[in-house]
Amino acid sequence: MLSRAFPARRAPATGGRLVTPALLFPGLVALLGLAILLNLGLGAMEIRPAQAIAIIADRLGIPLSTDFTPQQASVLWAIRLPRVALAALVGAALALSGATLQGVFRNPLADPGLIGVSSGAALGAVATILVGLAPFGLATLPIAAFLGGLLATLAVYGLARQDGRTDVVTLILTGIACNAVLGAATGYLTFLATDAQLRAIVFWSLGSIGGATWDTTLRALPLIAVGLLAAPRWSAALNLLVLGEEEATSLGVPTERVRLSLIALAALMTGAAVAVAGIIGFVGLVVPHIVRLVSGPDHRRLLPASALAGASLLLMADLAARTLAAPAELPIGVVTAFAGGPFFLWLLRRARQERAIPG
Amino acid sequence: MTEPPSPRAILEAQAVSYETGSQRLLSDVSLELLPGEVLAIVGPNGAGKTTLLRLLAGILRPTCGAVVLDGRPLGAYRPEELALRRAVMPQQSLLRFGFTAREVVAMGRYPHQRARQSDRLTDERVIARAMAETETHELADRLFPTLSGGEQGRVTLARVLAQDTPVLLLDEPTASLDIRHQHGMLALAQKLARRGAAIAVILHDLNLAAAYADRIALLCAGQLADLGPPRAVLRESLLTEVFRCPIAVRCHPLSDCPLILPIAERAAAPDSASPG
Repeated sequence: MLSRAFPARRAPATGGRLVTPALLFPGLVALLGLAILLNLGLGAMEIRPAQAIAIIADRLGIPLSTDFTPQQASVLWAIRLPRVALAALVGAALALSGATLQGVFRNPLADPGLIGVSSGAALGAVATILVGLAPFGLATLPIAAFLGGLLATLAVYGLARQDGRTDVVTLILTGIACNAVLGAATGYLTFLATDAQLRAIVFWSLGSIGGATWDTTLRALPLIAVGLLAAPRWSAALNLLVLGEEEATSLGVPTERVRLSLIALAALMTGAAVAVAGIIGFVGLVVPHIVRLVSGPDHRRLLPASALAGASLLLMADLAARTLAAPAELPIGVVTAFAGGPFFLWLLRRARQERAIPG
Repeated sequence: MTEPPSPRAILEAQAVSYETGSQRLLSDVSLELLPGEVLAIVGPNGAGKTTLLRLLAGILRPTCGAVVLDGRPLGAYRPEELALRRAVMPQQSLLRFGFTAREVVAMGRYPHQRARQSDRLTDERVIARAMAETETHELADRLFPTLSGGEQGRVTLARVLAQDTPVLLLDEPTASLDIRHQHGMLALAQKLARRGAAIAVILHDLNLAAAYADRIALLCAGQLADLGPPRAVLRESLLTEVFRCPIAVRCHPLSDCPLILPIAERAAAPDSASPG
């Protein structure tokens, strides 16, 4: 309409995305299905996919023609299924928390570990192990981990915030400082711990879902489910929040409410995940980045896709953890950090190259 | 020349002051923004232009005084109500995530979608028009962080237009634009005003203000030094005093608007160049 003032100029249409987003969700669901079947099937006792399906169907009262042994049924039901369910839940929770926090802090490098929620949750849990009181029964540990994670995140957020702005570098440095203090407190408690308590604490800091039972899975389920269902409801607002706080406000987003709700949800999910599986690093950081390459940064796709991809990734990591050194079992946190660390380095280099684009 | 009968103000600053800590950034500024006009806010660095714009936008709350939009103080609106009535173009965008230009423009539709006052077809139409008017449709599939400063500015303006509000507040929209796009953007602002929009725009270039503004608000050290049509405000003595720099005002040889000419203060010429 202003063709005289803005004469047409040909610009290269490079597009932004690696793959068409149409294949994103079908691909992720297929990947998750594959990861679940591999996890159910592989191990000391082999269970073929058809048998796994027949065992589950049998439990539900639908007899199928595929044969299976009672041993296979009990291994699948008592060991593999709760473990698969827990790995999927924890992976989805960590990846969704990471994607959410990266949006809230407008920082692609934020993750639950960097901003203190993991170390806060760990301190809460270790303190509970040491004090030995259980006012809420078996739920005491998850509750303490959740509160620790939430308080640590709010402390980092509050300390890094200045004049209504959250500076990226300040935030990361604040996170490092708070992690150091929380780590020191956890270290001091570890120093005071008895041998039995020490074993429980070590299980924690390495991260493992080897102890998964239906009990632990069902304990984590409600907390993580709240986050999985509630966080994506804010995705349109989150898209505007990454424009900047003032711009989001002038576009009608109640920024403080959105921010605090999402931080609370991320702390809830991560706290619950850490409570049942210990500290599992890099999933929250790396998964949203892999997903973003395909989905683009729109949180309406990114959040659910990250949850699906996180579940698949943690299932594959758990498969590696229990088969690579079989019959011994590697801590899953060791596996994800080994794979995630190099990826993080690549990410840093790539971000630096992008910033070098002439403005 | 007689003033046309002034329509009712849509946005009004009533004796607003703003203080932060011990600093008084703005004191006792009153002005009205009328539907159908382009109001340029000009002044030296640190005069309080951006502070005034952010007060008008409701991003800052005045320490004293009030800003009234459609007869209601800004404080009485919820953010989502405000977003349907006024759009704000910031000085620069901080977006670092790889949204495409079109996705950024589409974000302007958020308040309407949230209020369920729009459907997909309307959204598509408004977005397409905003991108056509800013000539940004060619950038549609490019990633926003990879655009140049000027291109980002035009995409951001398209986003502001997509918000489709009666009041537009623009903070230095011409800052990183080349000369053609500076004029293109202000010609567009003028056209939108003729359709009924009320537009306040911060400008550094006094000649752009002279050419496109219906009225000019001249700020100096947090106070309103003058407010009126370009011809009345852009006076040699006033500009020289406010900008603390010798300025001459002439009539533009090719159009009928004031032409502002800063007078260069030359250092004394070396002896060899002087005659005699």
